[in-house]
Amino acid sequence: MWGTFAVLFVAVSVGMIELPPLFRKRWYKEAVVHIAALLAGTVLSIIAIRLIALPSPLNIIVTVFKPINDWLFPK
Amino acid sequence: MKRMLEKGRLSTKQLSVLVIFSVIGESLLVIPSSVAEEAKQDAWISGLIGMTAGLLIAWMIFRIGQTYGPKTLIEHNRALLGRWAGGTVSVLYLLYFLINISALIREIGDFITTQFLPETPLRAVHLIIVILIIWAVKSGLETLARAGEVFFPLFAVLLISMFVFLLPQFHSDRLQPMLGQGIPSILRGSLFIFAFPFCELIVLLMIFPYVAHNPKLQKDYMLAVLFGGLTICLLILISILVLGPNLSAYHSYASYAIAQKISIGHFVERLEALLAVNWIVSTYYKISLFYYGLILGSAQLFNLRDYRQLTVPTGMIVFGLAFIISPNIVYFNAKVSYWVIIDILFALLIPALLFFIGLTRRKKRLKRPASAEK
Repeated sequence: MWGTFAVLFVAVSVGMIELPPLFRKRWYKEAVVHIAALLAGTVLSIIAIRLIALPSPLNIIVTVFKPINDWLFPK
Repeated sequence: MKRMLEKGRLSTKQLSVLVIFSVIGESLLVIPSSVAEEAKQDAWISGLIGMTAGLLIAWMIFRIGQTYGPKTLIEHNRALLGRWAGGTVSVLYLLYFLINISALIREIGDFITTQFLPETPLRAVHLIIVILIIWAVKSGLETLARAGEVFFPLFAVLLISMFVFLLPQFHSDRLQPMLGQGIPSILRGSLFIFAFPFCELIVLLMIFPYVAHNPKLQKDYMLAVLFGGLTICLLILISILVLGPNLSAYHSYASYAIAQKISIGHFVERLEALLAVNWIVSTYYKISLFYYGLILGSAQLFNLRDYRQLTVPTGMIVFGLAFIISPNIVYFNAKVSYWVIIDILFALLIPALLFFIGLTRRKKRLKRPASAEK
């Protein structure tokens, strides 16, 4: 629980520090990308901090390249 | 209108130091084990073959970087393939950078929590590394390269002294029987040496535009790659000479195991921590280069006016992915061979394809009358 709060706290403070200068300069596209990355980062960091077990993204690579891998590195 | 996102310029020397760091990179610790598993006592032959092929691909990456001129990989993709196709290729590259960064951070975390600090949570180690790379990339490319110059002498002295201290432990009979495993397994082993140190130099395509021009650039770059490659080969040879093929394959951190064997007159002992420091420094520079490529690349992909504001949010993504990327160290080590394939895909096949597309485009443009050029 405290981990989640810590991540949210970090995310909010990063947004509070880095977003106002962008809005002041009217760099709206930069701000949108920043917010999107921050949201994704918050979700992923909460998953990491709370040790939620998810399937690894490596599984996608494994599924795609399995035939080549088995041909190159036969066991 | 041409915006320059990066204002710093690297000197030839700074580029060479970064190249040596990224060639040695994480391979310093983990590569002897993978190669020795495939090629056993012939791992050093694999090393030489892999290094020769690796020098070729490093040269190819350099030449491709020269044809891009002032454009980075991401900008070049857009100019060559247009907005959508170029964007797709660029997104693939950025994802490749992202997953590589996460894996490298995970490797540091796994190493420290299995060998050094078993009570420390993995995430604590990840957090420190992520803070460090955010700091480095936020300070800019030049700062990163200068810090590399500061670390380099220490790195070189520690590494060379480790090699020298191991001299009494060499057993040359461990290299027998030569070619006992057959040529195919030697070639299979050399793929690892081809991929991890050399193919991952593809990230330099994001940095070459910011290197100051110098007629000696190519020579110094190739020398740096050669030094890095020789270090890797020497390391594999030493780990076979000291541990023998079976133990080298058995220890997932073979270089750490050989550093533990250093004992000069029962006085100079327990030098493995120095090796670990060296390894963390070189891996850190490799991660920072990839992270720089990722941040600069995303800024160029979305046409942003600055890249610095992206560093902290992306750092949080990396922090999360470094944990998610593998449930445990066994899963991670079992998937090593897949990295070879994606490294070769992204460093050899896709750039070669882009190069030939570029050639056909240029021919078409030459055939057309000059008035159509406007």
